[in-house]
Amino acid sequence: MTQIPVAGQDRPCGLRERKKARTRAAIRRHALRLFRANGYQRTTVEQIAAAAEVSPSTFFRYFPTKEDLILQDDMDTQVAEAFERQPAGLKPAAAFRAALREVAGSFSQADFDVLRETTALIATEPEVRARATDEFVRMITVMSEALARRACRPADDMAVRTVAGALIGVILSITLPVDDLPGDDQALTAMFERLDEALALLEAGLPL
Amino acid sequence: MKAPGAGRIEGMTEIAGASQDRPDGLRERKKARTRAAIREHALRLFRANGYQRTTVEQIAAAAEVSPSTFFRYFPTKEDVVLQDDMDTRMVEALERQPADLSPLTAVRAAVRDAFASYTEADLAVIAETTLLTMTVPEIRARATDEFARTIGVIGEALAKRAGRPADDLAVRTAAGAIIGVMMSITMPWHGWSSDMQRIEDVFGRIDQALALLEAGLPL
Repeated sequence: MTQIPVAGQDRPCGLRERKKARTRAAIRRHALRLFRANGYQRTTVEQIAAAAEVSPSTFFRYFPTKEDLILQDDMDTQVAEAFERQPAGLKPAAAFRAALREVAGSFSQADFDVLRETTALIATEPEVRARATDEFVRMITVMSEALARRACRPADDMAVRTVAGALIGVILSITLPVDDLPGDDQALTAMFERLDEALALLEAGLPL
Repeated sequence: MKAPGAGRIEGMTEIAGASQDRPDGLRERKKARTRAAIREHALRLFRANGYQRTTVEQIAAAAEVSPSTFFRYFPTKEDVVLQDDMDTRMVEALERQPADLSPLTAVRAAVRDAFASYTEADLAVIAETTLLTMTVPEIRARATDEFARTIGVIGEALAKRAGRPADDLAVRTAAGAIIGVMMSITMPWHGWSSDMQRIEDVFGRIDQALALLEAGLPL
C-alpha cells in the first residue's frame, strides 16, 4: 500500500520519503542507545549526529530539538495515516480506534522497547516534559488535519478541532499519569487495551 | 489533588453535615483568602520584577506568610501561575447542577456558571497567567503536570456525581475528553492576547465545543 503514490499527502511512499524515514529512524536509534549508555542530559546533539553519520544541521532538519526526538515518536503520523485509510462510513472515534489498533498491532518487539524507553524519559526528564506541552498542541493539529481531510472540511473548523481535542484528551487521560508507567511489555499491552476501551467509550458518547 | 485539595478535605470534617468540600467553613474561607493573597502578590511581583527574578521568599514575605506556608498552598512557583482555581470553581459549579442532567450537560452548564462568576479582576488575572504560561519555559514545563492534575480533579467530580470510583475508566475518559476539548480551544497560544474581548470569545468557543461534545461530536 505504501508503494502507491497518493497525491497531496506526505505519506512515505516515494523513494526519497523512504530514505528520509530511514535516516529519521537511524537518528532515533542511535540517540536512544547513547541516552542509555551516557544519560539523556549528558548526550549532545553533536554526539547523536556523529553516531548516526549525519551533520548536526541535518539532525535539526529532522528534529527541531533534542527533546523532540523523544516526543515525536511518529506514532501520531502512523495513526493519522491509518486513520485516513479507514472506511468512510466509520465515525471519527471508531475510525481512530481502528487506526490505533492497526498501528499497535503492527509494532515489533523493537518498537515496543522504544516506546517504553521514550515513555520513561518523558516522565523523568524535565526538559522533555516541558516540551510535551507543545507536542500536545502539535498532536491536536496533526489529528485535525487528518479529520479535516476525511470530513472534507477546513482544518481550523470548530467541529474538527473539537473532535481532535477530545481524541487527544482521552489519550492523555490514559498516558499522562506518571505513577503507572508501563515498566514491561505486559504493562504496555495493558495500556493499549485501556486506550482501546477508552476510545470505545468516546465512540459510545461517553456514557456515565 | 495536591496539598490544597487535601486541606479542603481536612477542613470539611469540621463542618457537621457538609457533604461537599466547598469553601464554606470559616477555616476554609480563611484558606481561600490566603491563597488568593499569595497569588495576588506573586502576580504583582512578577509584573514589577519579572517572573524569573521573583523568588518564593519574596512572594511569601509580601503576602505575610512563611515560605513553608507558601509551599502548602502551591507546590512550586510555577503552580501559582498554573493553578488558576478554574477547576475548583468548575467542580463547585458542577456539584450545584441538578442531578438529572447528563454528565456532559452538567459540565457544560458548570463551565458557563464558572465563566459567569468571573469579575473583571478575575479575567485580568486569567489574561496575565495565560501570557506567562505562553512565555516562561519553566511554567510551560509544569503545564503537563497541571493537565494531569486537572483531569484528575474533573474525574473526581464526575465520579462523585455518577457514584463511581475516581479511577473508573469511564470517568477518566470523560474527564480527558472534556480537558482535551478545552485544550483544543485554548492551546493555540499564539492567538492569545490580554484583550478582554478575546477572552470572552475564547469562553464562547469553549461553550460551543462542549456543546459539540455533548451532541456526540458530530462531523
